Amino acid sequence: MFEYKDFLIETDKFPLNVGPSHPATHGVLRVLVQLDGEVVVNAEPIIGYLHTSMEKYAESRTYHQAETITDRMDYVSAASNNLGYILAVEKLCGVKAPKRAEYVRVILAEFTRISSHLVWLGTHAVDIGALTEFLYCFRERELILDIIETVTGSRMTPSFYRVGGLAMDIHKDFIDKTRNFIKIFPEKVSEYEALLTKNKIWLERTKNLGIISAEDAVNFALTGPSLRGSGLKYDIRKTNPYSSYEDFDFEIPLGDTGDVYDRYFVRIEEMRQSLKIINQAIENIPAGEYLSYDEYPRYVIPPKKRALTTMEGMISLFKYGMEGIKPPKGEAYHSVENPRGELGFYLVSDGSAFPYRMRVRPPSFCNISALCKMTKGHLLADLVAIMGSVDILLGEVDR
Amino acid sequence: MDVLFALSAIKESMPKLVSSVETSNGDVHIFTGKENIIDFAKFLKDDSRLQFDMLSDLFAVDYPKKPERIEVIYNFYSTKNNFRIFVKSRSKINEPDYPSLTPLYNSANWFEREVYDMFGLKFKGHPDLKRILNPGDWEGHPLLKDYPLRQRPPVETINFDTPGYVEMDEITQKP
Repeated sequence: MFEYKDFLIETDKFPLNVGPSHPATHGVLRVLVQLDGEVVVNAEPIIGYLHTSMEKYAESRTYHQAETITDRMDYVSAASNNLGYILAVEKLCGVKAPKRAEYVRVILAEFTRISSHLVWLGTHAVDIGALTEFLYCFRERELILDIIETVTGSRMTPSFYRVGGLAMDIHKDFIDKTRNFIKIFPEKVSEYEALLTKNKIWLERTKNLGIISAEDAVNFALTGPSLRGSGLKYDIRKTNPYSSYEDFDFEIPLGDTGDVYDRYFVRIEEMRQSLKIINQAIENIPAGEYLSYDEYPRYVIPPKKRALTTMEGMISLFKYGMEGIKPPKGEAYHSVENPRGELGFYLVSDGSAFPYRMRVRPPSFCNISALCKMTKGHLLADLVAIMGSVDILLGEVDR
Repeated sequence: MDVLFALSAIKESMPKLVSSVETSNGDVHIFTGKENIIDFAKFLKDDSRLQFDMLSDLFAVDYPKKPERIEVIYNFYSTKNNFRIFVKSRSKINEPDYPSLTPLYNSANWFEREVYDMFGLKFKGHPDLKRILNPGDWEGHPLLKDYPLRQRPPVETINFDTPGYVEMDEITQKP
């Protein structure tokens, strides 16, 4: 026979497991929350459920094979990841890609930024309760994936870059589709904003929530929109321009308080700025080679046409295919501005065809480590909103 | 201002802590002893000319042929001055007092757990040093060079009664 006191539970120290299989964790994140009533006292993210040891795996691949691993890391913005990796290898070899290739890389990287932000916006809105947004966002994301497929042949895992350029040249279809997208997208962004930006429910759910100050954000090594939402102007595209970003005119949107709404605002603005960059790049795309084979024949594969029509081209393509490129002994670090923040690749070469060590500096890994700081003192329902607002991707957190 | 200014400032103020300097591919690598890491990081963080306020990355590389086989690499970044330097120090795997930077930089917390998980280097002074990516009962440290790439434990040795979860009680008992 039960008595009344048997049904009483301690509410001041109530542990609750969120995840690892929970729709609002965007993957397999597990958060161990300690509640006092409904207020979060402590939230500890437990990661590793998607760990595939990509850093170890890369040590047994050649430099070009290892590029395909970076696709699988951050699978909604794969072209950005490829860019960071290829630039690190190029830095190691001392190779520079031709201007045409750099512009195409910028276009693809900015397309993935928009598509990644669209995935984020859709799922984040669903977490908070706005279901329509999700359908709108995925409608435009499909257009972007279509364009990426047109040029790279693959929707999610392009691996389109090569050391010193691209796998192949772009064609007219790609340019037409991109121009069409630039024409229609600005009003779509306004459409998303019309649903949310001044929506009273949205403001109530996001304003003054999950605040992190700029000093704390820097101390936690937050980067990307999570840092810029706190008002600190740190964007690698501006501070250390790579891949011809210095040619383009764009602005870095900033928040001021560092709450969930600011991070939302920064990402919405970033989509507009990315579109601006794509517009400038596609209109001014330089003519010329797409691989710098003539300048650096030691590290760069020959263009396909030359490989199939000349003897030395055929031999060198065969050699790169069989042996891979062999960068000189040394170490190189290159970081790019991923949709989630600073994605860095640190490569150690011992002179062989395989990287001795590939270290990935994952932006989401750092961003989610500040979750406890952001959620302390908020309600459990707000934990989901805060978790969504830092935009993590577990494939990259766990690698 | 570029990073060479930062390098000369470091050399001028802290000549004892810098054992050697290397520049490769435009990056500056400073070697220092493991016992100096905390002093060095404090100096980098507090010096008004440098202000390295972000520990952007912390990881290790394994060189099994050298006597001190683990090379720990710190990636410091200054958001105010746009400097980036790499500080390196060497250590054995079972070094008893390798210092932790968690009291200075919050970001070091997870990075050090990852280094411990992957290389087995224990950081002294870390508040909660445990495995982060691998399960808690995992054997070995995967990123060491002598850890085989393709090998799994035979199925019968897996103990299904104690899965690799962190037990809930362990965590909730903490303040």
